[in-house]
Amino acid sequence: MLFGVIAAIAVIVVAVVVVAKVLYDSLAESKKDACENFSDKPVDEPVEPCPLAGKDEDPFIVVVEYLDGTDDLELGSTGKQFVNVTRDAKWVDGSTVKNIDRTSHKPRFKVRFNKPGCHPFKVKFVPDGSNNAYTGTEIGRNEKFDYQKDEKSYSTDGDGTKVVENDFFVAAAGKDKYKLEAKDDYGHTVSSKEIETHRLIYCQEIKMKDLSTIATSLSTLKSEYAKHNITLHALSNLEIDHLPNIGSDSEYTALKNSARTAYNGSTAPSKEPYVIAVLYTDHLAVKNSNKQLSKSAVQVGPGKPVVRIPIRGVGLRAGDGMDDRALWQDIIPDESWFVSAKFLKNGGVAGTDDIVIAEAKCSAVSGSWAGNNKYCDLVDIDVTGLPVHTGTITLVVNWVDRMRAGLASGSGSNSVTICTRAWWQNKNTASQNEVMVHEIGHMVGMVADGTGNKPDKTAKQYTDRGHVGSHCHSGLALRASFSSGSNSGSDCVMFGSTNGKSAFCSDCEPAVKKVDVSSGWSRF
Amino acid sequence: MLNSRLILLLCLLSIIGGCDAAPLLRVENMKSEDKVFFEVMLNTTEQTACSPIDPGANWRGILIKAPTQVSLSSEAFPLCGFFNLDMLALENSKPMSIVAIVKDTEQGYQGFIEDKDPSPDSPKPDMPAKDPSLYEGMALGGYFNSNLQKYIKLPEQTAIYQIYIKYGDQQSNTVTVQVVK
Repeated sequence: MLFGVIAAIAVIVVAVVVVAKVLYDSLAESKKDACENFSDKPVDEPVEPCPLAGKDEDPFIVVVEYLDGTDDLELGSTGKQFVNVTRDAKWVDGSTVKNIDRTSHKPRFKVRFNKPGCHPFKVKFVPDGSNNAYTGTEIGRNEKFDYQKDEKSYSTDGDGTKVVENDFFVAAAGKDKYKLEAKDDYGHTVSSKEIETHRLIYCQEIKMKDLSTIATSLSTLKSEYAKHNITLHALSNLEIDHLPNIGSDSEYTALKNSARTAYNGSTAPSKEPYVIAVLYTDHLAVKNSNKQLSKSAVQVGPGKPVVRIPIRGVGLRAGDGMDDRALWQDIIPDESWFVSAKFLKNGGVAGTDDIVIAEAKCSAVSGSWAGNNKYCDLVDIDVTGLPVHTGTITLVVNWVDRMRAGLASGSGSNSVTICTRAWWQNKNTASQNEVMVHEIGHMVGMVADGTGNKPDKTAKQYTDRGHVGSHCHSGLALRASFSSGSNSGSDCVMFGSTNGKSAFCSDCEPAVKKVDVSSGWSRF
Repeated sequence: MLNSRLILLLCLLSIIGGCDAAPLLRVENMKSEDKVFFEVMLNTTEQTACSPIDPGANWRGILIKAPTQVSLSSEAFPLCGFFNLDMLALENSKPMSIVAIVKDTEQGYQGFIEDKDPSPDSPKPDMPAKDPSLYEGMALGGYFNSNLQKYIKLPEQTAIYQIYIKYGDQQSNTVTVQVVK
């Protein structure tokens, strides 16, 4: 009986051991199989999802891409991003600006996962290594010199996609390139196509009637700015009545009033604040009126030779100094260079003994300039009709203080004025374009001097020194005044006087790329 | 009787004229003159009703005139002048400058009368240099009607200023102008 009980127990124990061994072997085989097939996710890591679910069912990130007009359209190739303008369909023309997503410095993008659900992901900009490098002080002055440097976390909406807008912004510069890089929580990383930054400015030409010449093309202007990804988009031309000269404040006001009337009736206002009006004018000459030139110890009377008076005086601007001046003639119809002339004999009493000399006795004498005979800086006075005396001749004249090549309206106002004639000669298309590059350069913030929202001071920037405002002396040594002496060698369009150059120098180029034109300009 | 009254009246007028009345009359006249200054078109180079008289072609110097009083709120601070200087004296001269000195504190302010035009020039054609003898015996002169406020930022407070012009090797006469509320 006892033996029978012991035998039964032994059988049970053996059975249990055999079953346990079978179960152990079976589990070991399963583990081995699992580890062979899912070696990167060992089954003994309890927090991992079940590998038996199969990898085809993993939620993983599929796409990060800039949007290209709608929430469902992704950028197909490198996109031109116009970073100065606001996000607005009014800039879209289908050719220069392809669609609304190519406007503003905050490009939208979309992330897609392989399956619906709320899936976390992270995204960041990957700027190109060649992008403009703003300094800390530049970014400190202007936050638009910075881009979104942070990696940001999001989660897809229930459909497994996410459109991100407003959080990611690029810097104000042109020619910068940015890709997006996004990754999910499972280590999958995807990249977007590239956007390249551009700036958009509309150019509204306003031309005076009856100008003897006018720029036939803006190609030099456009191509110079295009080098720095500033697109100048020309609007349809406007026309205004002719004004012979813009010199005084009142003449400039008259010009602006006339141009503004034409401008207001055009499409230009709809493109504000990114419009620059280009006003073509005749001379931009500045008159210095009623200047008195006296020459003493002259002999007058029958048979005496003409008395030659040199037209020479100090300029109206600081640093202009003493120089020969051209008489004010043939600039405004009916305006004469001659004001008055008189003779006072030695020992005579001023105001009592003065003898008036008639205008007809005074002749403007042209210099030896081959350009034309309008440039006259001498006056010959016929004194043979005066009684015989020795004394002083006093001649009062109007002379040309200077001739400007162009005007920028300043104070954030949106017009530049380009003269088509200077020193009585027509200016060709190239020289007009040169002035446009210069004046628009001022409008976009050149020459940067490290103030306000501008980039840091450029290496050859100077202020005033015979010119007024901020200019570039690249190619020339810095000197007290550039208004006299040779400026041969000047090689930047932003020099304070025209120099035949229509391109920015190597010092100014980086600043032109960096400038922030997002504020635009107000109507002149 | 009539003669004695006339003598008395003349005596009274004489007393008034010698003491209080004369200054009052002068102020009255000055205010009238001041008004004319504010009718002058400033920043011009015409001869105006307020211009000093040109002493003649052989005279050298600078003359200025100004109103006796200018209001703090006025946008115009007229200064009318005439100069006639040897051309050689201006050859390397700084621009004409206005100097204003507060009478009580002797605090000085200075500004150059110059255009602030940032426009680029169309350079003048290159011309051959002239015979220097042409410039012998030459003088340069003219009128000016400047708005001092365009060139000097004076403190916004009442004060009495003594004002003169410097140009070339010359200094003008000094005028006294009271800035009032």
